[in-house]
Order: sequence, then structure tokens, then C-alpha cells
Amino acid sequence: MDRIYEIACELSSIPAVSGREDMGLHRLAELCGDYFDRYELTPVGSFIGRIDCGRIGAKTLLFDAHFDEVGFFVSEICEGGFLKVVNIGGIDPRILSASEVLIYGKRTITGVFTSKPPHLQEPGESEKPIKLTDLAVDTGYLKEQLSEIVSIGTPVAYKSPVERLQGDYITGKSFDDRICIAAILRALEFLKEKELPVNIAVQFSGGEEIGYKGAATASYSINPDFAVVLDVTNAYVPDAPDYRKDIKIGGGGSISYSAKTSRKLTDKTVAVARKNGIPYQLFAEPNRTGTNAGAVQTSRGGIPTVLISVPLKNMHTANEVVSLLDVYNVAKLISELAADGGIDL
Amino acid sequence: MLDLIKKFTAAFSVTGEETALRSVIEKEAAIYADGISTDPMGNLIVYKKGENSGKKLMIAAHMDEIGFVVTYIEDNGFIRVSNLGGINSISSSYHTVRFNNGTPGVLVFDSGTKPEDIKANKLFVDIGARSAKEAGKKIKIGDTCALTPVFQKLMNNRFTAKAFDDRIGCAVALDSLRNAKKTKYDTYYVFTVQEEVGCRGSKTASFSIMPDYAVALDVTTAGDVPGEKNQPVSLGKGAAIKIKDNSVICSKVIVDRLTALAEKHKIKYQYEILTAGGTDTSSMQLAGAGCDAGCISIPTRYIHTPMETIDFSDVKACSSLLTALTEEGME
Repeated sequence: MDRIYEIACELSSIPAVSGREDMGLHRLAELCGDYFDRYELTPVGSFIGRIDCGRIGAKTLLFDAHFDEVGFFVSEICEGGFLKVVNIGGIDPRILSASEVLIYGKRTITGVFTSKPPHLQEPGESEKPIKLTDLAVDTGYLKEQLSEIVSIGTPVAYKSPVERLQGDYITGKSFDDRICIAAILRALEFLKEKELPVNIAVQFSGGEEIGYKGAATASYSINPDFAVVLDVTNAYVPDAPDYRKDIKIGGGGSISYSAKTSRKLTDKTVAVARKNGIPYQLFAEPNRTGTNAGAVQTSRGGIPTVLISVPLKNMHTANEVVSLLDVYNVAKLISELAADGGIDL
Repeated sequence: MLDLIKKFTAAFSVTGEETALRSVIEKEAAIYADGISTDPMGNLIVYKKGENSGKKLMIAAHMDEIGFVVTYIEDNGFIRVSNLGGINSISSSYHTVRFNNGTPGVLVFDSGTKPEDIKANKLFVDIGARSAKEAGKKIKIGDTCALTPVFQKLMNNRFTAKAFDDRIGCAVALDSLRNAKKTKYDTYYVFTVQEEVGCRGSKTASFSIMPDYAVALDVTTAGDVPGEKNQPVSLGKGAAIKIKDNSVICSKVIVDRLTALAEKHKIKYQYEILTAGGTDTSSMQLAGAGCDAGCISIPTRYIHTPMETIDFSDVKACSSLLTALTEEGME
């Protein structure tokens, strides 16, 4: 699990706001290129890596996790060194006030979201929801200096280091979905010396947060025979709806039964988990899963897909919380699934 | 280019029924093309061979406009309609319309409707008929209509018309095709259908072309009018290079290349971030294994109303920028 922590720290620090994955794609390739026989970077911000098993006529199993993260683009450079921004992906503006961000202009600078202190508020104002258009990012520069560094469209992302909490919990930014990239890389480490019954293709896809774009195009390019999509899912917290009660941090990967996935491949995944004594939990998502699963499933002539999610708290914030044990169990599960020759649909 | 703009805005071309405008464009484009074809969806694909045939550039401007389709005819001859695309019901009503067969009418809403309740289901068309039977001689269920063309010159070489969205994009594409001395790549000028109902034409066209690079031409909201906020694009400040809209985040290589070409040729430009609305850019970017896609936007006021308003200097800037890209390519 220390190894997963190590990979997670490296991955979390790479900036890759949706649609501008190119800002971090080369660092990702440096970090994980050696895991693959060959790899390529796509125009839609995805990393595609392949490991050939050497068997003639072998089928291809795809692992998908998305590389992009929610963030912002600069929309206006204002007097006094303030920046107006628009959100890229789903962000709750209530979490932003007074938080730090990094602004990836000609050089990278730090900014802080503005905050109206209690002293200056009208009575009752703090009860009202805040909108992103009410906030600005304060940089401390003069407008003229700032215009030299940033322009409209410059990406902005959370600034937050990875920290260990109690036990095997960790907190940090972009665990959605870098933690699943960590799981895939760890799974490839488990498989390293083994003979594989299938070719493995991996897509660390871009544009998930803005409509599953990298997954749709990369899986078209890979054309796999079956696919495992890994994403994060909201773990139960006290104010969450009742139906999420059974998604627990520490309970293992959450395997989804959904119309967007293959029941046969999902059953197979559950069977592999049981056979190997790997903890897992089940979740039913009747139609939408909010992940790449749907885009991968409907690529080309259709690809049988299973969705496994790592339980996570505080999704789309600078302090997402996951359990390293869950990540380890997901890594274990997908490596056993790949090693199991029996995926035959 | 004004000749093209006038011709294009006058032609009938409601979403799904783009035939009339397509023949107008085809006639204009034919002598500049190395190949011209219409695909099963109705997209007009104008091909120009490039100096370097290893790569393909696709340019898309949509021919269709928002409009109405007849849903049923009431006993007293009034014609009920449903919207095709994102109609602004308030600004469309109390305006004349023209059906695909040329029949004129007026678009109005149920008397006494409160402003907040004015939706497409309150709209009807009065063609002057006295009964359903009489109306049925001219109009049948499924017929489409659009607002009657308007074309008016304003001060400072600004113009107002219906359906500048996206006839102005079609005009820019064709003007650029006329002016291009050469094209670097095999270039496909595609005049697409059904953009207003979900970029459907560009989906299939880009799938059959499978471009390496793609640029859409479409209108974008100008924020320099009373009541608009957080929208930095202005009329007269040049071609708008799109950063994003609600359907796409433009590929950085295209944004950077258009910026560099604008700087090099001293073409006025501005950046555009649109938080609503989509363009053909998205479907081109996602065709097959994906490609580098971007968009040159024409700043436009009052989009999806009968009085869309543009500045001709912006239109010329957009055309020059597109020509620079088609002639010089990506490097």
C-alpha cells in the first residue's frame, strides 16, 4: 500500500484540467511509459498504452481510468489582479471561497479565491448560496503584469498536497480519477512477470468530466474485446441519501450492475473476486453511471464493459478522501481478472 | 462577400429541410471545387485538393436554422406548430413566417398568455385561412416554416438579419474558398445539416471524412449589449477564436495556431468563452479516434431572434483567418 501511496502522490500533483490534458500528458507518459510495450498520446487528451501477450489471435482487454480533473478556465482579467473564471466540470462554488489554486499561464502562479468576511456581509448573507460569478481569483499582480502571464482560456486547478490521514486513508486533489490510474499501474506491477492470456490496452482518458470524450475516441482507436472502466463513487457520509448507505470506504471496489455495462462480464468479475477472496461491494445504477462506461460500451460495434469504482468522499473538491486498502483491492481484482484466462463472452 | 450573405440569408433552410440553400451554395462553390457531393444526411461536401495530401482539414458551417414544424391544424384554420431547435418564443412571435412552399403567415401566441408562459406550445400560425379545409389546401402536418427573411444595413457597416446563425458561417467558408490561392491539406468545406438539433450532420460527415484537423465556423454571443454579463466578446473587435462552449473545449494546438496566424497577418482577434450552446466543433473533435478541432466564431448580437446583428469587419477578419489556416496549415 505504500507503493500505491507513492504512485498516488505523483499522479495527484500532475495538472490536467479537462480539455487541457496536454498540460500534464507528457508528465504522465514519463511516469508510466515504461509499463507498456508501446504507447501514444491522442488529440483528445488521452494516453493509450499497450502490452502484448504474444499469443496469436489473443483478445484485448481494456483498462480505462480518466486522467482529466475538474478545474477552471480564466474568462476575464480584471483591474487589481483579479481573475474571473468559469468552471470546467461540476464544481460546487460553496467550497471555493478562500481556497488556493494554481494558475497555469506562461508560468505557474498561485492565486486565492476571494471571500467576503463576516464583518462586511449583510445580515443573513452567509445563509445564501454563493455563485462562481460572485467570486474571483486574487493573484496580487497588477492587471498589466497579469496580462503578460495569463490569457483568456488559461487553465486553473486546485492546489492541494496529498496527506495521510489515520489508518490507510489519504486526502488530496484529483483522486477522481488518478487513484484509479494508480490502481491500474499497481495491477500492471502485479502482472509483470506473469504470462498473460490476453493483450492489455490501457487508456488514461481525457475529457471525462466534460462528456466522456477521451474514452469514446480512445476506445474507438483501441477497438478492444472487453473493457474494465474504473472510476470513483461517492462513499456514504452522514448526510448522503439512504440508498448509498452500503457504499463504504474500506469495503473494497464497488462493482456496478447497470444497463450501461455487461451483466455477463460483471458476473465474471464478481466470481473472480470471490474466488480470490478479494473484498468487493455491489451497487445498482439502473441507467446512467456518470462514468466512461457508457461511452466505452457503445464504441464501434459495442464492447462488453464492467464498471468498478473506488469509494471516495468529498468528490470534486481539493480534499478527496480514499482508502489505500480499497485501491489495493481494486488493483488486485483487475489483475486477477486479466490473469484469469476465462473471460470469454 | 455581401452578395453571398444576402443570397444565403434569403434562402429557406429549416433544420432537416436544407435542400434550397444547398443548391444555392452548390452553385456558388462549384467552380472553385475539385469535387462536390451531397451525403445521405444532406451535408454538402466541397473538396479542394491540397499540396500535401497526407492530411485532411475539415471546415464546417451549418446550413440549417431554427424554425417550426406543423403539428396539427385547428378547425378554424389556425396552424399549431412545434419548435425545431432552440426557439426564443417571445422574440419570434408577432413576426411573419414563410412555409417551405412559399405560403406566408403570421406567428402569434394564444391571446392572454402571460409573458412567462409564452412557450412553443402557445404559438400558432395564421395564414388567413377560414377553415381547416382551406388551410389544408396549402399546408399539411410536417410542413416547416421559418421567420421571413430580413436584411437591413445599420450604421458602421453593421448588418441585421434573420439566420446569420449560421449563414454568415457559410458565407465565410465560401468567401475563403474563393480567395484561397492554394490549400495546404486536402480540405473539405462541409455545409452541414441539423446542427440546431444536436450537430447531427457534422457527426456523420466527420465520420466519413475522418479529418486530422477540423475548424467550425459559427456565431457566438456578443456581450457588449445592455443586460449581458461575463461575456467578453464584442462586435468589431475581430474574429473570435473559441476556447470553449458547452459542447466542446477546443484543442489547444488549434487555438494556438489560429492565434499565431492572426498575429502574423495582423488580423484582429479576440478569445471567446461561451457557457451555453454547442457547435459542430464537438462532433468533429470526437469523430472516430478523435482529431484536433477548433472554431472561428463570428461575434453576433441577439442570436436566435429575427434580428441577429453582426459587424462586417469581424466577418472579413474571420474569412482572412480561415484562409490563412487553409493556405498555411498547422506549421
